[in-house]
Amino acid sequence: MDFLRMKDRHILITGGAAGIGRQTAITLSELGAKVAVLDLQEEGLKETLSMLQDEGHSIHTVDLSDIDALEGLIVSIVKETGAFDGFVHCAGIVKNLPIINYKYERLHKIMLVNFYSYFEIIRVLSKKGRFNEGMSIVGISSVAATQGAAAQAAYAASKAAMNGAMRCLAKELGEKGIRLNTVLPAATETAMYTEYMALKAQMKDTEMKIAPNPRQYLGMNAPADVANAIIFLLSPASRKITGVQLPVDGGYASC
Amino acid sequence: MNNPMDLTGKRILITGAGGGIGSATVRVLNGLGAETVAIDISEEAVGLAQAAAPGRSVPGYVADFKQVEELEPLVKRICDENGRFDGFVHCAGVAPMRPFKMTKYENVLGPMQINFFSFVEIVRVLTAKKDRFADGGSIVAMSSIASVHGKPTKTAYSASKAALDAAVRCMVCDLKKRLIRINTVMPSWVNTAMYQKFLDKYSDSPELREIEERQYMGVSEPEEIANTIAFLLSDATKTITGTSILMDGGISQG
Repeated sequence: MDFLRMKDRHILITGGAAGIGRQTAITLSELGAKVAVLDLQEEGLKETLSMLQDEGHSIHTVDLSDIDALEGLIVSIVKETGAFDGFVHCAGIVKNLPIINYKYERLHKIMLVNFYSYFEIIRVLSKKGRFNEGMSIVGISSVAATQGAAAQAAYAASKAAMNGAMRCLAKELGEKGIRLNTVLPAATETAMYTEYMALKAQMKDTEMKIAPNPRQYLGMNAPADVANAIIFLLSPASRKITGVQLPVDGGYASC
Repeated sequence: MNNPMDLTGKRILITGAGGGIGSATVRVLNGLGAETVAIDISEEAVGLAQAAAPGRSVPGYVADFKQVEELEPLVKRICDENGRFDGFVHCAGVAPMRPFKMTKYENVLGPMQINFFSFVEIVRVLTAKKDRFADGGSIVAMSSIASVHGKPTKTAYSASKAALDAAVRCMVCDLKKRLIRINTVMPSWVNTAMYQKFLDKYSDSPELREIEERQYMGVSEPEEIANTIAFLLSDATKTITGTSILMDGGISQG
């Protein structure tokens, strides 16, 4: 039985040149979906494309912090490849700094990529003719949205902003049959996590250890663990689930 | 000077009033001018509650909170003998630690009766008649961070506290016409006899180090919990209802 029914569904994915975004694109292609993958990293995008199954996918190099350019880009992708059944916002940047070093422009840059571009793409996509019936939108938030950690204020704020907006948009766009949810991963084996741990090791002057917090007692996430949750929320199997924050955190938030 | 937390003229019923948090609550409420009436499990515990407010009259009653059916006649008698209440604080509670595989129905039932059923029953009986509980009165129950955070061996306790919080969110709807407010307080570790027992058993253990690291504002003193209870009982919080206030020293942020 085809439980997820993703065949021929058209999904827009940001941040698809690596990590969770890339894995989401790959798994979706294996399920028969067609993906349009956005990222700033052209080489990584090409590599992702080479890993996708079957034809009909597209890649687009874009700087998501250039908010004003996004409408034109999305409209051209829709013209070229058709309306969308789903949107996954995996693009995200993290910069861990003590608050004294967090000048406005640094904070703003993080908000641009992690949050404003998510918001703008939803605004543009939810116009008539750009989405198909039952579109599902999944944002990658983070456990950082609900749990504090030193030096993570900007990242955490951007991820919490996404959850706040998501709950409102779920109500507002529910009238159009569009669903919105977020997933909240804890530590996941990605380049971003490796960089974060390297920085942490540097700050604490301890040996760098790629190991999740003991509270993440089911162990470190693989990108596929997060991608699977995203795809469930994209699929019609979850058609009555909207406005929800789903932790994918190996138990982190439960204790 | 105007004290927004002044409780002068308010009559407050307190269960578990001889315990660590309960006796601190008796002390703090009397200090703010309230009249308090104590219920606890034994004469000895009632005595501890009365000793917390020397020079004040603290009528005391003994009750077994597991015998939920016996609470209705008791509460009626307390109201007949003391008059109408403006507030109620449920501090009575047990926090057993028990491995899950040894947690039979009866081990869950006990904590549910004391921590949860007795609270619902006392509120029901108190609010059933206007001469037992004043319109605009305030009710506070002790919940715990266990209501939202899991720990091994704490299944029954956590379930009872989560049940309490969920019930409160509904009860406020039932009692809204009379403007009766209900809130809960969710502490993490509090410096009571229960915590001292834990320290004796687990000194220098990873469990203790985890508490020290995550509860970085330190373990709460019973008076600090009592202050929040007093705040929720007072007119300073006339528009706060149906909520649970975390007092966890930072645990859930870390």
